[in-house]
Amino acid sequence: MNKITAALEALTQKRASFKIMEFCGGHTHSLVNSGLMSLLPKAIRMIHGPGCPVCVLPAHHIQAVIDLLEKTSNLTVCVYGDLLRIPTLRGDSLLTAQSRGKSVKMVYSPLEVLRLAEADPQKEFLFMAIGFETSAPATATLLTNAKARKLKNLSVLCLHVLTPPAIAGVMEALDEEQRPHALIAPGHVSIVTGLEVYREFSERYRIPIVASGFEGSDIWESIQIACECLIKKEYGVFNQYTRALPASGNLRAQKLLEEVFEVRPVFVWRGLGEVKNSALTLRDTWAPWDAERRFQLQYRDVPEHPGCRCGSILRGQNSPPDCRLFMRACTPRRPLGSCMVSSEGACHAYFLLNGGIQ
Amino acid sequence: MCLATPTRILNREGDRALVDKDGLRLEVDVSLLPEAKPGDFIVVHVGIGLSILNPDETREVQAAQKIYWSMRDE
Amino acid sequence: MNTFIERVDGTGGRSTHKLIEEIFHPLLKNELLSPNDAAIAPWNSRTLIVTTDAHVVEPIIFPGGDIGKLAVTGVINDLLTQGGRPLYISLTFILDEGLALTHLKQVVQSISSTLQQNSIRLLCADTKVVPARGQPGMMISSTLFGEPFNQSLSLPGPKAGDKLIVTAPLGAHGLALLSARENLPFETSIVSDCQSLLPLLAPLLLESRSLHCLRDITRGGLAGILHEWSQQYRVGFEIDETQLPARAEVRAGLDLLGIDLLEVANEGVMLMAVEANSAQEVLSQLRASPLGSEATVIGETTLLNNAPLVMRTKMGGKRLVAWPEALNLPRIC
Repeated sequence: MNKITAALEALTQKRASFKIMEFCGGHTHSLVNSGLMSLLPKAIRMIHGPGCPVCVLPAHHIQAVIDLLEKTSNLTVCVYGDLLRIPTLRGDSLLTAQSRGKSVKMVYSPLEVLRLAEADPQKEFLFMAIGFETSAPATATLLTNAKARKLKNLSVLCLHVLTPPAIAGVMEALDEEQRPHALIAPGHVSIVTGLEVYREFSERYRIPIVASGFEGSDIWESIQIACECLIKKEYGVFNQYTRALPASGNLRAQKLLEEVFEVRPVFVWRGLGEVKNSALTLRDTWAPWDAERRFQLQYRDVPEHPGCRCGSILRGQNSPPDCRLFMRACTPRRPLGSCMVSSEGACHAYFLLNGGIQ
Repeated sequence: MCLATPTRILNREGDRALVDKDGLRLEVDVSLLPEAKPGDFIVVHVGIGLSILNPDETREVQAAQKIYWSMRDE
Repeated sequence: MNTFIERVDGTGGRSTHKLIEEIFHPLLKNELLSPNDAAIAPWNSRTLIVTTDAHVVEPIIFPGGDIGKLAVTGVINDLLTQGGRPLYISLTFILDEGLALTHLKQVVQSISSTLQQNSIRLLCADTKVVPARGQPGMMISSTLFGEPFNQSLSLPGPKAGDKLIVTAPLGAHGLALLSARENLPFETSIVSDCQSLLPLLAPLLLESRSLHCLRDITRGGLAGILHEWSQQYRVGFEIDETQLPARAEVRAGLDLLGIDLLEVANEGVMLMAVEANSAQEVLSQLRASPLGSEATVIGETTLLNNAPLVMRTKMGGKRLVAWPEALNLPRIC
């Protein structure tokens, strides 16, 4: 038997079932691609969490940006690649807007927007800032640099979301017996926030929380740590990713986030609904670079496809095969919901897990 | 999206550093890592350095990984 | 004096004639290239093997090659997959108005060299000019004719038990094209490895009885080809992640871009299904040539049970590999 399976099987001798949620989409992706998923004994069940910023972003934000592009001729919208294919109204997307001539540019870093804005002072550049705490420092750095260089022709649409409230949101949305017994926390978010942010959840729900790296071997180790805790009926916050993750996180990054952002009282997450204090917006001093304030964005409702179960999948209540659209009407080629668009979404991960076969 | 990569700093000038990953060169912002210096391995996410890797532990993990892979055939 | 292609160059009149005389003929003329509307060439073989392909790659000149070299090497490698020795080629050029003549000359020179190196004669050619569209470039369509290396060679398709061999490291061409075309966040020294595999495969195609199937690993990557084979021949495949050859720098680049090594396009890399008992021998023959020095056995053919393509991962787990959607990958061939 494979060494990994053997080690995990040994644990299942001591406890009948383990339900572990890996919060982060990057972990879901790695779990499947490394083949680790195929090595887990049946007693260890993984629940895929909502930590996929593309998956939890309601499409009405993207629709609003597309609408803005239609009526603003000198505007260029800069986005991370994953946002391009998210379907909006009538099958539209930033990618199809680009094909009909709208100025949409894919960037690998928000700092590219500085270069673009400097090169083209006549144009307006809008950066759609999505992502959890891992990406927020990069957005903040974009803004501090824009201020220092007095660049007026760029703005940020701040859609950053926060991990701890999402953890709370998921746990609260599930009945006690549906909740995971342990949580694998995102290693890269933790590099920014530090580990203390998980303490209250570990205590409130009495679950072990393991901040994990992203290699298959990291996730295996994290699963082992979580299982061992469960066997000993212990809980707490643990660091598996010690080679990269300092317990206090990156203090400079935390200070920068404080300086640039404040917490929105409420934000609507796809799947989780309204979650309090779970997203960021720019502080008043940064108003000149706030796209929401600069452009008076109009929001139109983008309803979910009637059969779409992304919501309950993001909450961990259902798994992709439970959705009757999965792999029938909804495929990576023609995604109907956000869980399929992003390569980190649970539905996309399941698609890969099953090799594209129903 | 959580994709962050370990890279090695070749040189640093103020807040910018040139880093190497297996022969690829990229320019990243290291304003959040004031102590990072040439020779250090750092974790980079969307163009920003977020933490400095512990070199000994990183080597240990890489060595352990090689052992896992070589032992995968029962 | 002209330095760019103009629309009038495509009208078939004096300008076109001048373009052909000044740019194409010095590099491509040979006694078989007919001034008439059809060419006559000697043909002795019982069987004709033909392949055709269109090339629309952008940019037309990239690290490691250009569209001209690609237009020839691409069809050579395709012909080889059917056991064909290339003999004659027909080429069509569609030139964008605004294309610099220096670029055109460079491309035609590449074609000329590649034809010579592979002993292929140009029988006929045509050229047209189209109105400007974005970056001035060109498109080339090539049709290659050949005869079997070995009249008794049969390529029955992969059979359960056959070993899978890849002749060179994966991903170089794909990454080189992406770095030439997109504004990537990194610099790479990787160049395209597009090349003719005629010298590598001719000896094997002349003699071997153990080759069962060959494919050029282009668009869709290794995963795409294996899924196509699975559908065509009703077999399955199991490959080993630890055996997939690729340069560290290529892996790093693809990682940063979020592109799977299994899906990246290649040029100049051949996938072969070989009878199991002869696999080591074929491997040694391949490795004896500089073009095949890194040939590797990457897996094997199985019965089609559930999934067409399964990969054994580094961790020893299994991962089913889906048919690539190919939507996110830019055209590079």
